[in-house]
Amino acid sequence: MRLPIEDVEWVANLAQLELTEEEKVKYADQLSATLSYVDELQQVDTQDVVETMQITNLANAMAEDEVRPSDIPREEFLKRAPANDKGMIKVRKVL
Amino acid sequence: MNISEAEKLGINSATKTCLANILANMDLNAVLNVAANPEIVERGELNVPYLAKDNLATLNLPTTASSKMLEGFISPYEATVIKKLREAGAVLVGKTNLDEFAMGSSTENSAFGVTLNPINKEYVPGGSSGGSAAAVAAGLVPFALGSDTGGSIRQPAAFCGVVGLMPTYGRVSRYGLLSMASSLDRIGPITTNVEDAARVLQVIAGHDAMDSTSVELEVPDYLKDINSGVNGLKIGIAEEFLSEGIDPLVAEKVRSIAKKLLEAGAEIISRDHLLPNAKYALATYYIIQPAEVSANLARYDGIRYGLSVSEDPAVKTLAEVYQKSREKGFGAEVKRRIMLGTYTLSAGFRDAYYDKAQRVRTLIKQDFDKAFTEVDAIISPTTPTVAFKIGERSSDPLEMYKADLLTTPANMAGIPAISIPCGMANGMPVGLQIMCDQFEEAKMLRIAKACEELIGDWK
Repeated sequence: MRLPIEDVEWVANLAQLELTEEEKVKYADQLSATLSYVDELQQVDTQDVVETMQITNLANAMAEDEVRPSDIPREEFLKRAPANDKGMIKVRKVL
Repeated sequence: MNISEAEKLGINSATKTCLANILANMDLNAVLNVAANPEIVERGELNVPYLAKDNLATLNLPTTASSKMLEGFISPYEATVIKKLREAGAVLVGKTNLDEFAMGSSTENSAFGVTLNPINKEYVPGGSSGGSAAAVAAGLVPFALGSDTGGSIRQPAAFCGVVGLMPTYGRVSRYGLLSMASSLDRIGPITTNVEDAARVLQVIAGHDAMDSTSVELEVPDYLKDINSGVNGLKIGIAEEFLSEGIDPLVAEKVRSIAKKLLEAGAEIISRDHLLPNAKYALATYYIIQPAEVSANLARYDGIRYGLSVSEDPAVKTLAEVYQKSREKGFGAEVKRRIMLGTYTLSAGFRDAYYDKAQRVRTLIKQDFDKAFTEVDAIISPTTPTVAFKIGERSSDPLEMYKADLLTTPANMAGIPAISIPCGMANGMPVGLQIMCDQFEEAKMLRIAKACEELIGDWK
């Protein structure tokens, strides 16, 4: 089954991706093909199987909750941002 | 050039030679950025030049992941593996090309152009660590680092006729590896021979407080028993890895090595259903990997670093900053996987896709656990076919994904695997894959070394 264009638009919106009309059509086809391929998993009986959480069975790797100075100075982060002001990264209005 | 040849030259001369080699082979497009005047020290257990895949953070060279999103980006910190190698005397001479954000099997997804296979320049080098494999195969450097999430070290190593080692998940710190699919990503070496792979692993393995998934297990001496041979070892063959979808010429190479292993004293245990669920690894991979990608790549939003339209006056809202920055910065395959992962994780679909895949992943792991109670290692081809031509599969993503058919099971199970060259088919190299249980790299290297000697001149 081919994914409807509306579904592609819905997913693109969730993923914060702007798509062209051609891309929407292309992804509808390609995502449909991949989804029908991965559907083969539905035939596997996983009734009593637990999901893999961590493949080497580690659990709760805790770090000390302590304040440490950063190895990287603030300016190093600021100069990589598209714009900064008063020592902070400048962004568009949120509200 | 291998590591001991580089050592004989001495670090100054070896570095000069490697830089000259790199500049003389820019047509391969294996190397994106070259360190023209690298800092050289004359000490350490691995005092040779090397290249690193461009998804590993480095301080003095850009780290781009072969994406327009990070074109020219210089990381403010460096990866643990880069730091460890420097401390061991290794000299970073450049960064290698890859499929954008390590998503692909051919390097055709690089925003900076495809890498050519040095064996035959009409063919892809594989991917995603295609630049690293091509560079080592062309003799530009004694070793290069790659990363492997579904086959990205082993598959290009196989396509280019070099050795590629993926360690156990958590054996090597991922700190400073640009996150792609965090439950699967690993870093490992690409070299010209098995012993060199052991030597690089020796340096980069170990626990790191900066990676909570790295394990606190002592790093064994990987060279100690490397020459002990295979006498008395049990080598498993999963017949399902040699039949459907596998080029018979490729399968034949693996069977002929099995015969040689038998003559060398190994016991060969061949089963029709040694790993009954491994056939689902590829489908499982193409659910789990894009799901984790969709979360990890959300950080590229045009706000803090990387490509941004934030200062474009035509862009009005915050949502537009996100959407247009991501539209401009990401290539087609990256967008495809973000879309796929967002879909399978979205409300109403998560149970059927992601949770289901994580359950099948458990079954795949259980198959390996059971098999390794019976055998020391499992051998198979690394890839279903030898390298394909540039452009041959780029229009059909699903066909491209199938190049990972035999490599994804080891990623799913967290086990180590190595690919070594074992012959030629249709004029291109064939890779032999050896898989062992978690943290059994030493045994895997010993078997790989024995296979390397039994195979001899493979070209």
